[in-house]
Amino acid sequence: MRLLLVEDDIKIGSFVMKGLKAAGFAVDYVTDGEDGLHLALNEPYDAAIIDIMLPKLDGLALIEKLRRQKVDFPVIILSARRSVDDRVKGLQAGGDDYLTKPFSFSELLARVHALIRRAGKSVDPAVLTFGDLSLNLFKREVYRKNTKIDLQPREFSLLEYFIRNAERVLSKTMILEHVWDYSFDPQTNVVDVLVCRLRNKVDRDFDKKVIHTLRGVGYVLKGP
Amino acid sequence: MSLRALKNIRRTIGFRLTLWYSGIFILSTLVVFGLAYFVLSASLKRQDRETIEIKLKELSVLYQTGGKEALEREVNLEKKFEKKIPFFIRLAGQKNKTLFLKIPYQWADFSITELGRKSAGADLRWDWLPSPGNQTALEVASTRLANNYLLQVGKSTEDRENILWHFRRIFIAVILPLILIGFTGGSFLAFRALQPIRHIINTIRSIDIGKMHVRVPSLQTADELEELVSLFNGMVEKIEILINSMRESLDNVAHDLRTPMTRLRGIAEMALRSDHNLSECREALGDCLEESERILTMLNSLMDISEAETGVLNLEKEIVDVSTLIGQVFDIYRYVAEEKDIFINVRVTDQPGIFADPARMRQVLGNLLDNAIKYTHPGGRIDIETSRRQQNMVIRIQDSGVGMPPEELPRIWERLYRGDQSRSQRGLGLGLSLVKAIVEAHEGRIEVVSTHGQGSTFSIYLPLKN
Repeated sequence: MRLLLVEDDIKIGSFVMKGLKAAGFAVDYVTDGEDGLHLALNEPYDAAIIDIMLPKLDGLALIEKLRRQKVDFPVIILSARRSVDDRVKGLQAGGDDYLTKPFSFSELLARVHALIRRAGKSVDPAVLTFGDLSLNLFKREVYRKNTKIDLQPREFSLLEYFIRNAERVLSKTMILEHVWDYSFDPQTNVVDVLVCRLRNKVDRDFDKKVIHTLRGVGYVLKGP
Repeated sequence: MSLRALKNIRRTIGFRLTLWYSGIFILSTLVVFGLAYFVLSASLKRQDRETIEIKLKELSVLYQTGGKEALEREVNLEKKFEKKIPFFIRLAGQKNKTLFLKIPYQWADFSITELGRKSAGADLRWDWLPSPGNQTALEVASTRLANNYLLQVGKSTEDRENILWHFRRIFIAVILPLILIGFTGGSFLAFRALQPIRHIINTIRSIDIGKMHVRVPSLQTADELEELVSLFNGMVEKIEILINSMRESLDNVAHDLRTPMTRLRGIAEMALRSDHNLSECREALGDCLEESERILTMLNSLMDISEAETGVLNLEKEIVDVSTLIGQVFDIYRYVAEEKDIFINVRVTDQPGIFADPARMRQVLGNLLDNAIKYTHPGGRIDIETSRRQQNMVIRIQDSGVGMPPEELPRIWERLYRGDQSRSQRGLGLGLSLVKAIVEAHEGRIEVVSTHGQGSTFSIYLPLKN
């Protein structure tokens, strides 16, 4: 998997690059829009991460040019502006996702994975499995080691989200956006409560715990 | 320099208005004078000719009855009674030979022989004999008598030229002051008419150098310019409020961020000073992340509050069904309530929609429900209900929680205020400020009734969509 990263802030750029490389991606990193355009037009990428405020050629113009040239790999926009208007503008220009600074790296990583998977259009299996967990999407049934686990709808979609993104850290914001379909910024940790409930049903009676907390970052589904 | 000032003046609207005004004023004066002059001179001429004609007829009748002698006698008689003989009278025989001539001495210069060269018919014939100096002229009417003699009666145009000359002199004497009056009047009118615009220009200049409080003085004329002035003042007022509150909220945000930033810094610094114990460092890094998350949440909330309060919050309003909204918020918090064994009773009657930003309204209801759950003991109960009161939709969230003492109530809407009860809970002290700001940005209001130890009731009033 090869990614293009266009970001003018060297510190942000290099930590994102390091993180992406550690996650197994090949990354080309440039700091201005023109270099980004040149690479994007000439190299085969699986996805690009493009900042909006760029020297020489700004991010939106860069994405518009790419889309006009029929370059169609998914693009994640990074921006320091969080208004709905800016988000809409970014998506209209041809971006596929929009991430506001400051962002959590694990969230960026998860979004990159999600976009590449979406672009690959893999066929959805009817049953998702992780270790001894299996989740039937049609019957909406969950089993662990042949024991049936009763889940409420939100708990079910949280587990589905975990299994689809197994081994990846999911931030609270991502879980919130994914499980409840509307963007919301609650004060109380609604997500913590939901994860706690899911843990009680999925992990409590088993020796091997699969849902892990990463303090200050989020949650991850992984083997022991 | 004065040349440049002159050039600048020439470009002003005031100068152009003055020129136009005085130009039109002078032109119409000229037209009026011209017309009067024309009418006057024409009527004087007609009067003269009528006099001459009457005289000519009278004399010709006299001649027919009494011959040349009667003519002479009549003229001499006239001379006795009148000081000045007003007429030139000539009787000419064959070959234009003068038989009788009466000519006032003033007119002696006229070359009378010129007259009568052309043969006149039986009818009246007019001749025009200019004086040597061309100042006046002798107007002569001729008629052929029965014996083919020529009778001529004339009159100098001197009298009427005199009158017209006076008239012209008056005109010249009057036109100069008129031009002056026109120009002065024009400049005065232009000055008056453009006064509000000059005021606006001066005000803008003052604002430009930072005097935001300056307003354009109103002239109370109730015309378009007055309207412009009042619209302009309204706009400046709005901008001033906006700038002031932006400045204020910027100050607040800067101040409010210092505390968590200090905490963040402290955690990182302490971790660096410790003896590189890996688990302690990881702990500190986790704290840093949580703290930065808090700062971000705080920054977002503060910005939302400031934007909502100053009216620049971008509200994506649409017709929203309140029961759907309450359902969504309930859906988010149901597990939290369940975990705390709090029963949430939603009683939503069918209501017409409200015109609101659904995401912002979810934020409002979410914050209130969040508070209600936070401050209600396990086993307690929360009631959410809607009703209609006059032109308002009322959403009431009632909890059986700890309530608030009366002295805390007025302060709960303040930014970063935290009551005694809330200090032990997580939170930023921004929730209620944000709720109030968003509700008011929707032209609604929020009220609270609380009894210490028994619970609180928050009521949101939102205008119904007609």
